[in-house]
Amino acid sequence: MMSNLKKYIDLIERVSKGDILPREFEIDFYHPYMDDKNADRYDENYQDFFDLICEKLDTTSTKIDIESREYGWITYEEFLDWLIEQYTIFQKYRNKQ
Amino acid sequence: MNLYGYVGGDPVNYFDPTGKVREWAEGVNFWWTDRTYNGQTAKEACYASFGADGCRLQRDKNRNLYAWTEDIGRGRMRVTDPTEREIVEKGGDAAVLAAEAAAGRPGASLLLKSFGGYKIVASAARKIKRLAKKFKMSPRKIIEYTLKGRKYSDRKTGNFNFFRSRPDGKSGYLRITVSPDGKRIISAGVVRARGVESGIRRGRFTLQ
Repeated sequence: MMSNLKKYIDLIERVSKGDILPREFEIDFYHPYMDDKNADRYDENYQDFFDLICEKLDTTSTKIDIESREYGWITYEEFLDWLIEQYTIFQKYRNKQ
Repeated sequence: MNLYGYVGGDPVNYFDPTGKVREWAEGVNFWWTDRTYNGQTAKEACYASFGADGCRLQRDKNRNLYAWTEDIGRGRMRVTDPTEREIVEKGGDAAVLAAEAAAGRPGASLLLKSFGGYKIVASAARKIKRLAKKFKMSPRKIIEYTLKGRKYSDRKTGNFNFFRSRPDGKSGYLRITVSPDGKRIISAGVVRARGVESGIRRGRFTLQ
């Protein structure tokens, strides 16, 4: 069970460092996490964070037309900036606990 | 001449965001691998079809050679398997559409423009197409199925979400999000059951 949690964190760290592309991260993270039978057993803070990432990926795309942009869509580059920022906040929160 | 060839002759239900080319979910266009095909390398085949000016070559991270073109007049496409490659070589875009129609999935390579009175934002259409692939359903079926689910307003975004249990029997929901004015499908995805339940519990989602 814990190995998957570790895998998700590892993916976040790898994409944050530029070891993998955001699109590769999405492929390896989104559906594997959504299909993960054990996800409900993870620490709730991790679940909230992972759910938030998936929700953001739902409005992330390679190409953004003007209309999509109006409805909050972002590029993968923007997603990466967002993820790095959110992960930093998440780590600080975890360290305080 | 079919003025709407770039959308499979169906401008009502499909669209082309650039106005010139067909859109494929994953981006780039027309490629062959390093393997020769009908005695031609990727470069030779691409040049033969589109000329030196219209053809670009690049390698991906696995060192596969891709030959592709941005504007081939008839459309823009990426060929992902030998069958499709053969179709394209025989007749290009029109042949792909004809083959899709013959296979009972007309316009499968195109993006839905509208459904059930909703306009579909281009990025959402791409996402729905990916979901369709994941759940082995057509984009239309994905939308039709999900819109039969329960409708919740979203206090965080002002949008409306339709949630319906996943068609593959796994825990979680498919989600279609509609704009606050109720006119556009603006995104789609999968949500864990816990995500919906906690959203309801915390007052983010309200049943309509």
